[in-house]
Amino acid sequence: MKKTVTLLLAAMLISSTVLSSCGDTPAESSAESSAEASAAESAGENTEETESDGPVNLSIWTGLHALEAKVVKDKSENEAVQKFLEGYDKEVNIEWIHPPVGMEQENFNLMVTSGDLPDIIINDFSSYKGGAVKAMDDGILLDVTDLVEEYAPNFQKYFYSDPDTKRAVFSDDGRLLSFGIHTPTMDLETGEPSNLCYTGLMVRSDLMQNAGYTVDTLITVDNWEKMLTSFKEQGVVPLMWAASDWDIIKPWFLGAYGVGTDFYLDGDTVKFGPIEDGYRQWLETFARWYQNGLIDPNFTTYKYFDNVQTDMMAGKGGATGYHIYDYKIYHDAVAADDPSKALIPVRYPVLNEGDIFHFQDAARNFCESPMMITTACENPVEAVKFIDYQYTVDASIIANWGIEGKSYEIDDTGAYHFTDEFNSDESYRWMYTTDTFRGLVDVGVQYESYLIKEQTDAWALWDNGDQDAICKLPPNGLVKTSEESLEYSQLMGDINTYVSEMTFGFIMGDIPLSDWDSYVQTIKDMNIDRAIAITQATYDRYLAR
Amino acid sequence: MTQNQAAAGINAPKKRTWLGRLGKDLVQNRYLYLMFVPVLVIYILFMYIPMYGVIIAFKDFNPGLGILGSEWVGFQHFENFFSSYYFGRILRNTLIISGLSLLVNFPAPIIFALLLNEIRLKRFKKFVQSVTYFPHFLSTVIVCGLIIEFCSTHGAINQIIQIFSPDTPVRNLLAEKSLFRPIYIISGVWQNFGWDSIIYLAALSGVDSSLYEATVIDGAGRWKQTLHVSIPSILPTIVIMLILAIGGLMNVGWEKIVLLYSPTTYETADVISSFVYRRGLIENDFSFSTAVGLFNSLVNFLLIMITNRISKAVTENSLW
Repeated sequence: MKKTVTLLLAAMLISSTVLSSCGDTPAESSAESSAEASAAESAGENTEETESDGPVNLSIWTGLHALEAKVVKDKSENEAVQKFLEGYDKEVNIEWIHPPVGMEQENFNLMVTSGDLPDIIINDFSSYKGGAVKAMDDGILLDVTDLVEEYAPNFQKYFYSDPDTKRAVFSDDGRLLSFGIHTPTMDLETGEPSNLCYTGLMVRSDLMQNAGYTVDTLITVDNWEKMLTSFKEQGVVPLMWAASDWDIIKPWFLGAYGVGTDFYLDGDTVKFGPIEDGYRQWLETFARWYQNGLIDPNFTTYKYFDNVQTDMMAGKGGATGYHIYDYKIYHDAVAADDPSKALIPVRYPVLNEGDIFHFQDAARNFCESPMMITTACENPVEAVKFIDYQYTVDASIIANWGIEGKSYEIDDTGAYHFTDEFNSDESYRWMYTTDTFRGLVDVGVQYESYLIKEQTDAWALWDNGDQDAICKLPPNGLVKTSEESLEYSQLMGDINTYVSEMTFGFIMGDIPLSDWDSYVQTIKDMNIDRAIAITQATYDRYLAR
Repeated sequence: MTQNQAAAGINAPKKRTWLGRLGKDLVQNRYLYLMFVPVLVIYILFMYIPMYGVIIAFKDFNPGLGILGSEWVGFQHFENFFSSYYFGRILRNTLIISGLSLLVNFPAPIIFALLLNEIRLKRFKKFVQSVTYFPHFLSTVIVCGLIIEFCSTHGAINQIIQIFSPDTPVRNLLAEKSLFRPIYIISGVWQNFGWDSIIYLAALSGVDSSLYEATVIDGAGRWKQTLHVSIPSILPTIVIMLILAIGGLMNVGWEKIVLLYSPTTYETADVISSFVYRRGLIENDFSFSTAVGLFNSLVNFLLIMITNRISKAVTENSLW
């Protein structure tokens, strides 16, 4: 009896460990089964006709968002994707290959090194040493520059018309790198990019009123100082700053002095902010503010989410940097009950009235999720045409908004709105709209997601207008060669450590500002000029594209 | 038996070769060896074979080309690392923080185990054990969140200080260079001493009670008993744990350091792992971090060899 019981228990223990290790999440098992299915299919597929008679068969590798994996097993279940495919003038069969959620990087590495490639990989290859260009040289990706030239008119309409946009999608040596990416958020009808800024400064509206300032009068750094002094008298911590975590204070105040936090552009010259005179002036101001207790003394260790936001919601802080998406939490917790405690967005500060701010944080995430056609694709012409289809307005409406009646409605003025079911049920987003195939990104979707007044005010205030003339930040898509990259990381590893240490030291008063010259000299001895030269070289190559 | 036969040693036990003896042992204890085979396979497959990947420390690793296809760069990554402006500092901090942690974290569980051993009240003993085990299970992130709150200007520690001496200025304790190491080490002791004492408690419970009786007969009080019975009995365990701990001297985990440090405390807080972490954020350089890891492992290995030798000479216990 005892023996049988023991044996039974042992058997149960072993089987439970074995089974639990075999247990997959739905995404994993479907990924495995779809990977197997696609492997079997591609093994069964022979040479595809280059003539586009029959249906187009494409296998696409892309990661699923963690929340998405809960709703759909693979993207073929997404209704927007289904409608999108219906709208295409040829029949398309897509095998979706999804890595297990959280294992995208490993799965990507495995796929690339094993040589078992699908037709299309949605990944920018930044983790591949040498980038997408090297992947083309190594025979993994196809160089589609000429095919796009010939078969993708829609893509060219949106990306080739503006010289900077065109530069962003090309490599230094003239090959098209980012075919299949989303456009920047834009107005679908006019094609105008919307340049929305999502992070900036927000101030408690009641405290600001008590201090005697409004959004229009609080513009200069001097006025900020006066207002913060008043905050201190009103008994709150004037300026909260998550300096070691997500620093969304320093870029704005530093920008008032005309200097960027690290590499920035002055005309076509690359400069390094921390050695410029504007940086010294900013340090003087902040050191003085710290001395006078205008900056939170915990700024060295406070984290953005855990500490700054909680303190703001508890009413302890007067002003801080915020991302408007996170503002919703504050609004629901505090401002909904007591509107006087709302945080209102204010303009980026400048030195003198009439100055223009040059370092705003316009959403410039560009070149995300390019659709790379691999050398394993047997019908690249069809693939290019298919990818180009997503840049038509009709197809984009499906990807952005979904199915009329289910996820969106059009009101009498012709404006698009998400339905109530969509707003209340998280899963609608993953079932009825799709990020894949969203060629044109409609700004209307953003307007629907940010409904609180302060959030939309922020967009109006933080956008100074003509981005091209103003923004001094280096563009995305600057590429270093692998030797440059090695040298750069070695230099900047040391320099960044030194700069951040000295900056904090200057502000807290541990290091006197008279040491400024020796500080600059030390950075020069660390060979910052070589790092500036490298960045300048990447920028020059960018201009030459 | 004739003299010749005796000389030939016919009745002497048959001498087997090493292989022969191994064979016999395998057959005799075959079930034990069978249980051991999966473990051996795992070790070979997942721990020994992948070791060849360490060669990427000498290459410019490209995931696309694979380990064998990437080009050789020799000692470039090591030179890169040693010639860093901050190399001296991060090495110094790593060794100091490790050494101090060892100094404090090592005796604490032993003393605690000895003390706990003296408690007669079973309920109380179990209660204390459970309470002290608990912090071990808290994740690093939670513990660091607590520390940040307690050390802030309105945190508990400052409030307590204000009660006793209202004149001292309130300051963020984690921004002070000189306070970083104490905070790091004390929170480490608090978190780990309970769990680490388990092994010593287990060793103590295995001590033969007749030894204690013998010392009582000789007139020893509790203190003498501890000194002459308890400690020598757990000495083998202590020595082994010490050797293993010294073997981890170069590994100061980056997670807790990165969560607690800030540029104001880099001087005392920046260690090898946190420095490499910041470097890794600039460019994803697998080869560089492998090179640093290799360097760390080599130093640890050297330390373990030395400590083992010393311990073999001084006490008779050693790992091998």
